[in-house]
Amino acid sequence: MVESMAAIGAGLAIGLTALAAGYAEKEIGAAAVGAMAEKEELFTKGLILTVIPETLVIFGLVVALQILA
Amino acid sequence: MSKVTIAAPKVHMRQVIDTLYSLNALHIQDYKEKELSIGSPMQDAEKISEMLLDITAVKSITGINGSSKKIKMSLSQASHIVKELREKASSLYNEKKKLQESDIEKKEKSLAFLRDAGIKNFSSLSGYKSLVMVAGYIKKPLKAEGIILFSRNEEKAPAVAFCRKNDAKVLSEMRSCIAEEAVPVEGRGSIASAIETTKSEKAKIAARLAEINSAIAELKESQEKILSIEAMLVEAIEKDEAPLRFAVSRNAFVVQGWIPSKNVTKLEEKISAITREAFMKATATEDAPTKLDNPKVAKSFEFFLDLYSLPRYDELDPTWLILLSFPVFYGFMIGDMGYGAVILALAVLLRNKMRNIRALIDVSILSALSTIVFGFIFGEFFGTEELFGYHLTPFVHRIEDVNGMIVASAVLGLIHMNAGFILGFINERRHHGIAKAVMAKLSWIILEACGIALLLNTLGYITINSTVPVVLGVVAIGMIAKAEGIGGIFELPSLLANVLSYSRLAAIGLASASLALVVNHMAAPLFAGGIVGTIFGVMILIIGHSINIAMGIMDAFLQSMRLHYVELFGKFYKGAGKPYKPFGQKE
Repeated sequence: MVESMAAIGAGLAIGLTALAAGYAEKEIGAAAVGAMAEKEELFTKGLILTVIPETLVIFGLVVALQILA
Repeated sequence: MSKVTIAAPKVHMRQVIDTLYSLNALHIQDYKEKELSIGSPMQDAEKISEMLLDITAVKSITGINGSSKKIKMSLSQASHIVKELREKASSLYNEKKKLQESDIEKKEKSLAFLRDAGIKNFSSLSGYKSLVMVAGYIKKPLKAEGIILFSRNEEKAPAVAFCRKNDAKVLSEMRSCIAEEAVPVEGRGSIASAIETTKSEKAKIAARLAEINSAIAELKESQEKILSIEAMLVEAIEKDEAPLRFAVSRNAFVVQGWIPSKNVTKLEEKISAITREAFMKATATEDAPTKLDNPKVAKSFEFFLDLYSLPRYDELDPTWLILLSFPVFYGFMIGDMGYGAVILALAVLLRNKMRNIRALIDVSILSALSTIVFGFIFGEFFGTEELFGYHLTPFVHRIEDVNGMIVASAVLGLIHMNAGFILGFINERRHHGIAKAVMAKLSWIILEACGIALLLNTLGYITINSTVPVVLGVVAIGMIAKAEGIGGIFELPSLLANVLSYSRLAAIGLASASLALVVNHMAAPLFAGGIVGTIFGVMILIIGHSINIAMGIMDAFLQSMRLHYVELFGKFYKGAGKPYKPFGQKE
């Protein structure tokens, strides 16, 4: 029972953080592409801003691995 | 770099400009203040611009491109050549366009239509008082009486039909049954002879077009000449327009700019050789433009700074740090000897073909080498632990020892971030003195050390009196708050977030290794199934590993780049330097 709940918890940790990161990146990415259309030099800045929320999934992954360990 | 100011009488302006241009070292600062006016272009500037415009036109008509060394030639001579070429090219181009736009083909088509509709002479088409004509393709056969038709009355047949003008019913049926086409009704004689004439006209146009094309191709033979004249003119216009960047009074002019300090004496000698009335002053400077100066290996890694933002003149150039850490991160993430070899082979193959992304490819080559090294450490070759029959013994087993990998990532991250803090310390000391550097940068390192000590103590790896790190940590927080204000306090949790962020190194490695395993597991049972099975198995291996490599390259590159831009650069990098562009530098 405890084990299966842990597995579900780990899944939630990854899944929810991935959703959150995806949602955040969607907004940032759309804005970044818009800015790039105006000024192409903004590519790097846009890229950096877009990948910032990725850390959320990484946190989720670390938590999931800790739960399963 | 030194900031130099040169002032000289206006009569020597031309010589000074020539000297500066040939020296190719002074980054001119455009004069923007209001006390003096800026100079005006030399008298030839307008003419040269026009000639350059002509050359651009010739180039676009003939399809010439590339570049060449400049030629020595007088301006009037060059102008003569350029004008002649331009005239030739333009007249050829205009004629070609006119011929291409002639609607000979349309004419041919409608004549063929009339022929197929059974019309023999143009005279059959016009001159009627009481008849109306409808021409087109029949949609459905005509049934009404009173229609004169020269061709077959069936679907899709071309037709020219006539009926009485006042017979509205028949006319409306004709209109609904025929998809109308516009046909020429004007002309004389038989349709057949008109077709013949058009044919010969068309042949003439084709012949003339071929002639024009070969004439244009002939123009292309003077490519070398055009390009060398262009090079000469580009240089001339740059020189002629230089006064626009100078400050000018009635009899004198002043030019300001930056020059590498080793060139100052040379410039001084050259200027004083022109006239003794010139004045030059050199001062040390802080706001100079930036030129990155790295050894050849590191040069390609300047790419990351070009993409982000050049460092300011008085800032440290972090290229060498990226050279050290980028391949390590990349290799750590992919970590497979087979994948590394594939990436290396790809990069070496493409190196000479894709010169415009040379830097990127050189970065990939170093990263691929590091991937092979990490592949050896993790004992992986395309996801297996075997290399040509030899069993690879992993020093670290990536998939089983996930926690170890995360700890290793965090350690790499700590090293990386501290390198950033140290660079930040040096930068800060340079700009604001040692006290500010200690408060703003060293404090973070102290805080970090305290945090690690407390963590290790709690986990039982070491036993220390925890008051020391706690007190030191609080002091460090106080220093941060003093140096960076209340914002610094809010930044504190980012330290932990940054360290954890580096665990992406382990996470992406884990994903890559697992995917490789999955591909191998999928393919393995197929090899027992005879020749067909083997073929499918090989296909799965190739496709699966290709996808994994492609994803790995992209992911490892982006993530490694992000760790540098966000986690590392955040610790010290300001950027926004302006690139050093000496007057006289070729594009």
